[in-house]
Formats: sequence, structure tokens, C-alpha cells
Amino acid sequence: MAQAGRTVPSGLPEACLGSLPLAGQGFAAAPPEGLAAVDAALARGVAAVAEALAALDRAARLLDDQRRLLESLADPRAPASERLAAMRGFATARRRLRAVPDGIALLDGSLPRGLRVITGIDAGAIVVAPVELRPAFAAIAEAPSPRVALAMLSPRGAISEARHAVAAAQRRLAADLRRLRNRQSLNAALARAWGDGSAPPPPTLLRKLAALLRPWAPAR
Amino acid sequence: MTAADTVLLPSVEAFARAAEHLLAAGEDALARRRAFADQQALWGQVLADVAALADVLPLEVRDDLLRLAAVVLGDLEEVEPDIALHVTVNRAMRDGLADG
Repeated sequence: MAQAGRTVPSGLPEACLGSLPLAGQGFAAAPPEGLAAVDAALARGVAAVAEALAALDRAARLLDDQRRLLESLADPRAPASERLAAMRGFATARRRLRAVPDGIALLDGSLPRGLRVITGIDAGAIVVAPVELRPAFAAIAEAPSPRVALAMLSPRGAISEARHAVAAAQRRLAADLRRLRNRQSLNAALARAWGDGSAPPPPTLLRKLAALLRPWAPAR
Repeated sequence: MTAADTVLLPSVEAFARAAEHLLAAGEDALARRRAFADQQALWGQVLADVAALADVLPLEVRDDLLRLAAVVLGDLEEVEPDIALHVTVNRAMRDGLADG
């Protein structure tokens, strides 16, 4: 009989237990609520990573704004009023950018606020590692002169370096999001293969579904 | 009512559309992210449909689809998924479903 809230059916054939990517070896002894906890952890992870990606998108836009403003500041012939407006805009964007890493509360909140990437899952808990963007943002000068503005705009300047750091974090977090969603899909498919639990699904299908994805190897 | 009455694999158009989105994304990071998300949703649906159609699909077809899903979903876990692979697989699905 089906049980409410289950993501993987009970009574899984013994041969399938070792290869279940999410339930893992703990499945046989784990109560249904343990599997629900895995699903809950996945849902929290998806929400948190999506939030972090949105914050990184904001950071990328702020860096693009800063690049545009620096182009004004780098022009020594620009009128003073234009330079002043650009300087103000730059200072605002810089302040907002520096707040981005501190504004991201990822996952369970057990670590200090900051950006983290997922490195695995262990007993229903998502394992994370920090991604430090603050040094890249801190390298952006506060009130750039035309000479400093030019330096920051260079291909190896602070803006480009920060943009690269943000892009790398975006790619890594997007992969994290896909990893989590894959496991949600897999859990849903396993539950669907089982139907209402009244008839056993083909064990080979379960085994193949369970073996589809490698079990939380670190993203390359 | 059988599972086959209520569950269908994604359409020819869905595979074609996902392939075109992946190609159109080019080097635009945000467009690539969205295209990969669409591709993942599509193949997540394939996975769900294969599971639901377990008793209906011929064994060989089911196994082929599961193998393809493993390749596609596995590659989507990479930081830089292989667009050419996804386009090739989707176009093969498009052509195979159109022929069927």
C-alpha cells in the first residue's frame, strides 16, 4: 500500500539498495521520514542555489554598470559634472556589489553568510564548500582617478577579474542546481515506477533508474 | 485505463525546440543556463515517462531511453555541459520519434 510522503517505495528489492544514489546504504534501515528528509534537503538546496544565482546575476549587472561608469571616469576630458555623477553611481554600485556575498544565506544557515557550492550529500544533509568572492570585489577601488579607472578597465584589471570570478561561480552554482534537480527527477521517477505500491515494478528498471547518476561525485 | 493512455513521451517538437535553444544560446551565459535547464526538464520528463510506461514500452526501447537519459542528465551535472552532445541526442530523438 502506498504511504503518503514517500519518495522511494518501501520493500525495494535487496539487489537495488546499494545503488540508490539518494537513499544509499541507509535505505534498508531508514524510516520513510528519512527519505522525506532527503527530499526536503534537496528542495531547500534548490531554493537556496536559485537564490544565490539570482544574487550573482545582480552582481554581474553591477559590475557591468561599474565598467560603464569607469569608462566615463577614465576620460580626462569629461566635464566635472559628468565625472561627479559617474563617481556617485560608481560608489553606489560598489557598495551594493560588496553587499552581495553577505546577502546570500545558503542552505541551512549553519555557516556564516556567504556563497557556497554543493560538494555532496551525506545522510540527507547537503554538503557545501565556500566560494569566496569578497577579495575580488574588494580589489575594486573606492574613488578611481582617470589613471586608476583605466587600470581597472584593463583585461587583467579589477573589473575583469571580478567578472571572471562571478562567471565562474555562476557556472559552478548552475551545475549544482542541475545536480539537485537531477536527483529530484530521479526520486520522482522511482516513485512513479512503483505506482501505488500495489504491484512490484520490474527490479531491473529500478536498478537502472537508481544507477543513472553517479552518486555525488564532486563537480568537475 | 493503462499508463500508455495517460502518459506520452515528450513530442518531436519538444526535442527539436530544446536543440535549437541550445544552439541559439551560443556564448551567452544566461541563455546557456536557461537552455540547459530546459534540456534537463525535458529529459527529466523522459525519465518520468519511462518509469510510468515501464510495463508498456518494449524492453529494448525502455533500456535505450534510460541509457540516453543517463548520458544527457549525467553531462548536465558538469560545470560546462557539452552542447554538441545534447543537440545530437535531441535531434536523434526528434528524428526517431518522427519516423515512429
